[in-house]
Amino acid sequence: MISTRNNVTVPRVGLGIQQVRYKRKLAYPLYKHNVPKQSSDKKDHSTFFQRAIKSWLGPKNIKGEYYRNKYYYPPQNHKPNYIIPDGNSVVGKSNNSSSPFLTEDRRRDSSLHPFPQNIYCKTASVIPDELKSKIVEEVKKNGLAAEEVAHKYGIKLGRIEAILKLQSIETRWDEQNKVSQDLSKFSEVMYKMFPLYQPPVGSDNLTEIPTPHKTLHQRFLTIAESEPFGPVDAAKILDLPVASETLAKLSEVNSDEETKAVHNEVVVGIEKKDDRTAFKFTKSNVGSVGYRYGASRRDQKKDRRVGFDSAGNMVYI
Amino acid sequence: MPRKTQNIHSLSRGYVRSSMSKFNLFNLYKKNPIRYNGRTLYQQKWTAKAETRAYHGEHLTESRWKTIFNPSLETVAQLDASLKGSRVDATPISMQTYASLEKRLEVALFRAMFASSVRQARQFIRSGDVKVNGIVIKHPSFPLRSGDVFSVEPDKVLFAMGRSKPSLDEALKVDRNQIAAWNQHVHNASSSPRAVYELLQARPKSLDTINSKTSDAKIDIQKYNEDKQNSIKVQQDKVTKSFLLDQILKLGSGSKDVNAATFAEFGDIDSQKAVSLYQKFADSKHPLITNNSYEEIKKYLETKKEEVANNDEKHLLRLTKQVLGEIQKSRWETIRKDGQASQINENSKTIPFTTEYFKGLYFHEKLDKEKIKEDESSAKVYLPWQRGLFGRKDLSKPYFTPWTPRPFIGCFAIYPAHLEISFKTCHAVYVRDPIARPGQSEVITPFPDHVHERAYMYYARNGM
Repeated sequence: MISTRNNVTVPRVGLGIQQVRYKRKLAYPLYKHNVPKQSSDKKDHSTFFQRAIKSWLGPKNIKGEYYRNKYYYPPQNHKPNYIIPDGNSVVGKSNNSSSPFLTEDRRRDSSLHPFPQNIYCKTASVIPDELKSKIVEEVKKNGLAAEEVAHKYGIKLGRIEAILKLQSIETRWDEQNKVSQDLSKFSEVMYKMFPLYQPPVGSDNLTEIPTPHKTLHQRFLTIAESEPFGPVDAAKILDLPVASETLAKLSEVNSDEETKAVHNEVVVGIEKKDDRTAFKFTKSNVGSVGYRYGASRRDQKKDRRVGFDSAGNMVYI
Repeated sequence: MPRKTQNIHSLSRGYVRSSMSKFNLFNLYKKNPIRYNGRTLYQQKWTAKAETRAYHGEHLTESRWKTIFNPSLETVAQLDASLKGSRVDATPISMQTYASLEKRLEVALFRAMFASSVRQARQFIRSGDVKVNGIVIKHPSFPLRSGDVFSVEPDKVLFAMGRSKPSLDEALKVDRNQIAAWNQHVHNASSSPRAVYELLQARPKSLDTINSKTSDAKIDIQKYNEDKQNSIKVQQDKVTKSFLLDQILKLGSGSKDVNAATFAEFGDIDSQKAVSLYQKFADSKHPLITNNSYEEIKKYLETKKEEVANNDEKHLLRLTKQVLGEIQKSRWETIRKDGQASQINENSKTIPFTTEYFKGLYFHEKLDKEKIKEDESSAKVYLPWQRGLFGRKDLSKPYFTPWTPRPFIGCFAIYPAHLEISFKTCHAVYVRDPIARPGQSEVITPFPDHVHERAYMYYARNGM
């Protein structure tokens, strides 16, 4: 028989003192969870999380769909249905018993911001098919420059060029009859899942430029109190072009910009009788060809520079 | 080689991953905000980097990521900011910490929704199903540059974004259950149609946005009304002048004593007109009285006034056309009124029960499991909503056919601002590197800026 006194553990010096620097906690939800208890069945070894996800997903129908979960089927009305983790049931009717711990960010719009904790991340809008064909028509038929189309519809130049590329691929596929029934269903479903671009709402800001690095650091200047100081003066101090100049440059159409072919001078050596070698000399910059004696090689480094040749193979450079 | 991993979607660990799994969605749903109470700065940075790295480039080892990491973050300035006058939002610069990963081909593939996770995107690339500018690229780390067009084999995309294809056993199980339920429904509908109708009306609205388009009551009612409207048109087209004259002559010649009762079906006023018209024909001993075939009547009504020499006949023809026109007009009016009366109010919720509601339902034969297992093409499933075995209509495809979107796809469908996608051809263009601008970061991430800030501090420390 064991007396109660034997159960008392006596701490010993140096032993039994456990230093817990970081105790891993399981990722329990903060909201008031309504997870069914383990069944009284002896063989039910399901964990809390297994039961939690089961009740979150809800019942399945004959076809194996979680037909009552409001996130199971994709939205088809151009209005995304991103998650709102307020602790309300996502299966069937919500019981409106949201936990006081979780106060949803008021600035968040669940049809625009996909992640509940990050309001800086937004889904972009998809450009309607009609607008795409209109853009192609403007460029191909009306002969407008891509820059002009970009200004007209408030879409950045890069995206206009991308649309032109993809539309040409799409028309080619249509002509070749390569779009299968499943593929067109897929594209239709995906198209209806995203918000539509409706200019001028959500149009791109065309005055964006990469932030000049000079403006990212503090710069101190002592001036008289009465001396006026504005953005133009700031541009002068930082040795940057004035915003109005940059803006004018951005709205310019540089359509007649031609890529100048660089001619490389080649000297071919005269081949003489009994020569075993034919010489050809081309101009080149030091460092861009060959190895310089004594220069360090990167081939032993872990961030060895790699490139890809025209066949798509990886090569070290 | 990607980093080795075990139980990537562990619910008790609860990390958010770059994948479209339902387990990942649940982890995202139950994710608690990251708190720093009582933590040292290093602990904060460690937690932040652990959380963010579990999502960004989870498949890369830490040393590989450290070589990719670029501490100088790129943002954009908006030149018209001062012209707007309103306060400019803060730029979440720190969210650019993982921007250098986004130009990798594998990540771009996942962002373009051509693969359901970054690891699956890597598989597609390694198996040679991905092209960049028309050239097969087998390196997941291939850095995309602005203007690059990348594409994936459509079958792979449909596989990644579609429901998984059921095995033959699974499909048979589903279909046997479906057929049993359907036959029960047909049996109930034929024995007690009104009860089944009421049960159907009381059923909650389906959430299915893909297949149950007709379940919308408004659309059903619109269709019902359209059918009625079309039937009005069909009935009116039937009532031509020659049809009416044919009817009058046949009814008149059929009875001995011609009076209003003979033409009772014409209505009160029209029957009088019909009597007088028939009398006119009878008095003039018109050849149509004896020979009233439809062709003759049509020919008679098509003759023009100028072609008739006799003055009396000319008069009769004109009168006939006039009277028939009047009768036709009133007949059309009654058809239109009857048809419109039978239409349902657009605001009403249901189509009224009629005995024809469950017309044309058929019992489905039971499936012979053994025979189908021997030869799958022998399976004949013809349910109203499904042809062929469940999800196995086209056996050559690796995905659920006809194509159906994968579960919970809507929660993960984020259109990236730095890509332009053509789902129809499974092509996409890498427009530019993702940037941060006032109030927005184009790098897609579930974590707020303060977490990224600490992760950046962890990696941007000196001596790394």
